[in-house]
Amino acid sequence: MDEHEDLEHWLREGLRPRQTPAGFSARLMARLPETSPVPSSQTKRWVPAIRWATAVLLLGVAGGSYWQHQQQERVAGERARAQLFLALRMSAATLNDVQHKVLRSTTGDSE
Amino acid sequence: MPGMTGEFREIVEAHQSLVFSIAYRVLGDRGTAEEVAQDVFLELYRAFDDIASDEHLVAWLRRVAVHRATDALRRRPRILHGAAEFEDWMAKAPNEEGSVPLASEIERLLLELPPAQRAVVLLRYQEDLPPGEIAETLRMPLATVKSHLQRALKAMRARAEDTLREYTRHG
Repeated sequence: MDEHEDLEHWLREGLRPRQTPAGFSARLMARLPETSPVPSSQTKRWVPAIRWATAVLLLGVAGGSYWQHQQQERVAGERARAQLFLALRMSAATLNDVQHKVLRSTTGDSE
Repeated sequence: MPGMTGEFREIVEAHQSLVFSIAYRVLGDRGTAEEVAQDVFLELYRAFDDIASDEHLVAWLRRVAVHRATDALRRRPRILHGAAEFEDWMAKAPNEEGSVPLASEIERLLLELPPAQRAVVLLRYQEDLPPGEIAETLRMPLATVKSHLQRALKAMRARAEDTLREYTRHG
């Protein structure tokens, strides 16, 4: 056995596990109720699912708001178009009346 | 959680010696070592659901014991080179084989090493881990583990040459 092996041998011999002080586990167990458990891994397993559900919900709300906004714009656009058509129809009718009156007066003059 | 206290007590009783020995040999102080060992088990209690197997449990205990003991050492640097309490304890407390002088000498030599080298030597010779597993346990590069080990052995050999020669003659 050379010097290197001697040292390693004595390290193994000298570093055998030590006995804990008497009453170690009893003192430890008495401290357990003071310790507030962190969320268990079962709870932790739900965390990603909860995050996904929240993300989906937020996306849904954002998508719904966007759709509602689009709907409102579409309705407003349709209403504006209808008003424009109405205005055009009224203008056409007025023009027709004017034309008739002009024609009638022109015809009356010539007679 | 209270339902698992019986199982937890069994785990404590099976591994308390491992955790206490690491803490004691890193710190060289029995009282602080007990405090650290208790804190390690309380941390285990809180993280208990994350432990996947017995191997994982032992590796976890080794790693956390080394880290918590080293943290305690940083907070109390005066015990780095061995307190009077340590010397008294070593003189009064033989191990099962009655080999007080060897254990005492080895533990004294260990306390003269820097903390990182001390941790590596403990895992190598107390826990009998190969360098690869020490690297995993301490989350340290393998080359660093080997370098710590070489330096520690060289320093210990230089300091204890005569004493260990005596043990070789009588062993």
